[in-house]
Amino acid sequence: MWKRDWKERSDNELVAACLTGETTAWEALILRYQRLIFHIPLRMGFGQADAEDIFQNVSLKLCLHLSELRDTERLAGWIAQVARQEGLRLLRRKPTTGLEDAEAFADERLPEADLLAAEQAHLVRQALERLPEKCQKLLGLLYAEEAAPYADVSRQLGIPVGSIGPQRARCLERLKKKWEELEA
Amino acid sequence: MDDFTDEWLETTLRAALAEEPAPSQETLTFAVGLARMLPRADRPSLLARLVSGGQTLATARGGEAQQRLYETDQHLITLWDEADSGASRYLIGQVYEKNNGPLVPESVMLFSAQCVEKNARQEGSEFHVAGVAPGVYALRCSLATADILLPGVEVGG
Repeated sequence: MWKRDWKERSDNELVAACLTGETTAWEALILRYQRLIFHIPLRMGFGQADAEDIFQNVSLKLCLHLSELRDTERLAGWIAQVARQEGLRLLRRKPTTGLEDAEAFADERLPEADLLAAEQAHLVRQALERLPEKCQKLLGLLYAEEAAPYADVSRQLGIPVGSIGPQRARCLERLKKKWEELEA
Repeated sequence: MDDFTDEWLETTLRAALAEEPAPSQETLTFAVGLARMLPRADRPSLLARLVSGGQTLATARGGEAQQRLYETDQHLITLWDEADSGASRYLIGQVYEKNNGPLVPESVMLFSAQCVEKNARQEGSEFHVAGVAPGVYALRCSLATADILLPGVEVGG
């Protein structure tokens, strides 16, 4: 349901709706950001259980600080930084890791450039969600980890092999436009 | 972004679509369930800041405790944190309106990502929460006209 109701809304619109107690907006916000939140602790080297704890703490902080985020331009950046801080806090609490400098360890595992790349991947996912379903499917097949050969794409989507290339170019152009709208 | 190119977009798209472990359904349910903590449309939600406290103090019964003071623009909130049975902690708090003295909250709730939420018991103008495991919590005091949120209460810290 949330996808139909909230997919097109900006982060600021979702936050504003949450601040009026709109629970479906909150659910949409969590689902929109779940992958980014979970990605950060995984990149910092945490296992599933610790990553889940960090995910819950980040969600809690997001909920508690919503009113300060009403007009934030970069919610993704805020969330990524909070997830990293929560990871750092957990690292400092773990004497068994034998880490003298948790910050240096975190920087090594998740340098600033990778944090930014995670935010950008989040924006691209969001842009992809705003494309027509046909484009989402085509790009999903062509840019998956194991990209589907054109023959398979043709069979799955019911389009001639010869038109896959031009359609891919058009979908990428639309993705670029959506990404630029989100980035602006 | 200055270095935006078609190649960058394709690389980032591949990263965006890469398969990764996902949080469990239980964790997602917890996060979505935080909706119950959202501010209510009909009243303001005030975020309190820590003003002082956290030092360990000796209690009259020979134990140790910490007292913290939080404030909003209109309120002061004191929180006394002492040892309870075993490793758990006992919290006693009070909310004051800066101009008018103690207030009696309609309800006080303590919650964290790792434990079931606890409702405080009211004793006069004090609120009491027993059997709290050490950790970081958020506390919500619901007053007649507003909610006060204390976001990072380090119990037993």
